[in-house]
Amino acid sequence: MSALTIAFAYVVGGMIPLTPYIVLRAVHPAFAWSIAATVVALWVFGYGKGRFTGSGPARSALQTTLIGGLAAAAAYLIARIIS
Amino acid sequence: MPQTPHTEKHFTAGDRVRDIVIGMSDGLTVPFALAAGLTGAVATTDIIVTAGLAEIAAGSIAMGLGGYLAARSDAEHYQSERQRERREVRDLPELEAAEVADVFKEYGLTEEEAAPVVAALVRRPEAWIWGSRSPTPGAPW
Repeated sequence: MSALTIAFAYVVGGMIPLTPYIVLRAVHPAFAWSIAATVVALWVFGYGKGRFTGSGPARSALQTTLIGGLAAAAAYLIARIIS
Repeated sequence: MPQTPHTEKHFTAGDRVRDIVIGMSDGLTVPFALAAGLTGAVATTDIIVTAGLAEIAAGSIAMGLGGYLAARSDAEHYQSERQRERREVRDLPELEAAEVADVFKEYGLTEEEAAPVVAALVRRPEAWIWGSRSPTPGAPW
């Protein structure tokens, strides 16, 4: 049960940044929408997590968004440097 | 000021919410980073969608099974620790009593303060087994 819940949550989370690439044909508008959707989702998710765990929701929201943004920025920059 | 009873706010959300948090925090981060990285390297969305779906499939399986196996090995470890404690309480009660007394001393209790608590636990072997070691069951990491 635990495994299914984790896997399902992963799929739901993963489809958020990917959906713009499925819907739109051009890479860069898709990228912009992907960033917007994921930043909002990370913020909401972090906020909810902070509420559930009892640590500050705003702090948790900021932390989650920064970590997600940092990971994506690192991936984008490394890809740009290499290619 | 309204009179509300004091309730301690612990992590009360339960295992389901914990699992959702585990899955979604990686699910939001890794595919997002992958898509961003590919955006910096390729020109078509087809490749990004294909790679993203492949990553989501692999990631969800790895995270799900990983979390499940970690929780299971935790539970097994807890069970074996408990059986070991049960044996020790039965076979080496003096040593175990001293171990419990040491735990209380670590909390800052004096010998005299700890003695009656230890004596009370010795009279209740089941409670003693529970209290003598406290691994944290259920934590998946």
